[in-house]
Amino acid sequence: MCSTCGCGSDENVSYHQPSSHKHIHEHTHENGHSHAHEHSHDHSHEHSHQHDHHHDHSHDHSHEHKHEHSHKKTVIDVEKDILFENNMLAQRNRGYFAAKNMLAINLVSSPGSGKTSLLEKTLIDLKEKLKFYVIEGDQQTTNDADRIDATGTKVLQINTGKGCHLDSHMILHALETLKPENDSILFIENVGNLVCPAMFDLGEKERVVIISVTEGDDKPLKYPDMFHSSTLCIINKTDLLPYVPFDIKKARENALKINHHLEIIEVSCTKGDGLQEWYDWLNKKVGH
Amino acid sequence: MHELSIAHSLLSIIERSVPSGNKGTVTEVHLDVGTLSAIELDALVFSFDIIKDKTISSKANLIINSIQGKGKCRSCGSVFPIDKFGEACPECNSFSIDILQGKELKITSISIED
Ligand SMILES: Nc1nc2c(ncn2[C@@H]2O[C@H](COP(=O)(O)OP(=O)(O)OP(=O)(O)O)[C@@H](O)[C@H]2O)c(=O)[nH]1
Ligand SMILES: [Mg+2]
Ligand SMILES: [Zn+2]
Repeated sequence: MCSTCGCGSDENVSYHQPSSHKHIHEHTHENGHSHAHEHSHDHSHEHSHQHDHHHDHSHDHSHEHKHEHSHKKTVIDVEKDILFENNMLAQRNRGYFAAKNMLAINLVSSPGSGKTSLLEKTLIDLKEKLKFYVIEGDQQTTNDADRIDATGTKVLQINTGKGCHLDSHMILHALETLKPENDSILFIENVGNLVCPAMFDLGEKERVVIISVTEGDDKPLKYPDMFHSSTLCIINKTDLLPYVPFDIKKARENALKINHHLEIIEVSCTKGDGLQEWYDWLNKKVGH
Repeated sequence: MHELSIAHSLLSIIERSVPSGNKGTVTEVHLDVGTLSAIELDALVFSFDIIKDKTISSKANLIINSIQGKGKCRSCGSVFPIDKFGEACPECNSFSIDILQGKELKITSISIED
């Protein structure tokens, strides 16, 4: 069991690579272990100062019956972010991406909003110009990784088992296997879930939240944490607008109420509308 | 339910904060939790109680200090309490608000008794 980042469910996490049909696990884990352990040990020694408070409760005024209720209570100052393990490893990933001049993008949405569809289009349309890698996060199956593999892009599937989000520790292990080249773009498709992945920094530069017009224009209000922590919002499936009561102006307003920095792009992955604007955004982010 | 992973992180931080050789019982775990931290407190306490069994924290109670969210309006500069994202500035109705406080999720101290 891996206790490096306290994610707890690591024994159920597995890594698969479609093109090589490998099932990767043990070795990478051991490497990660020894290293991260050193870290955490240093930390807890530095930061936990111990204070011994002796509470001698002898409220007795007569000297005859002096009971000594000296139960010892030790208060240890911890002063640590509960997610510090995840945040620390996310910083490590961030340093890795920076050193390799990589752009890492975390894609989040409800199940079925079109994360994999957007990736398939993007990888096919831009693969001559840019170098891509993909990490797929799903509880079960390698279906999404197989779809990415079919585009000719190097991909690693993480199956989180019961886990409802990816964390920075899983990404760290995935990178050991994926071994991305410098100057590339890494897409991380998170587990379809608009709640839990919001809290877990993976070390990404950009967080892209996708909603589709079949979901309701109040989605940003219902799941504010995700919209607050994202840098770009993609509204997908605009080809279905004639058939659903989705007020796109209202959806934009709602998203901006939650996060006034948020950029918003409307696309249809199936029809191709708006994809150029998304590609322009990507190119701007890699500095082309 | 990310509160379960949070509870696991909590356990491992506690374990590593108790000095080796200390045979006492962890009785209190003090947390600072902001109202904008995306944590359901009930779910956190529930998760922690489930997984603390047979650990050094099996007798520990979570003592939560809730930290009121605070926002600052970019348009008019006023500072005001907020409980959730997407609330307008009470002075000028603007939604351009920066969060000053309320995203805390921190373990401040633990108490160990003999
Ligand atoms: N009409 C329409 N359907 C779309 C569009 N984009 C995706 N879909 C469909 O929506 C369904 C889900 O798309 P995916 O790309 O698998 O969604 P996802 O977000 O990766 O889903 P999970 O990984 O399961 O969370 C598929 O049936 C797609 O064909 C679109 O622009 N228009
Ligand atoms: Mg998918
Ligand atoms: Zn104002």
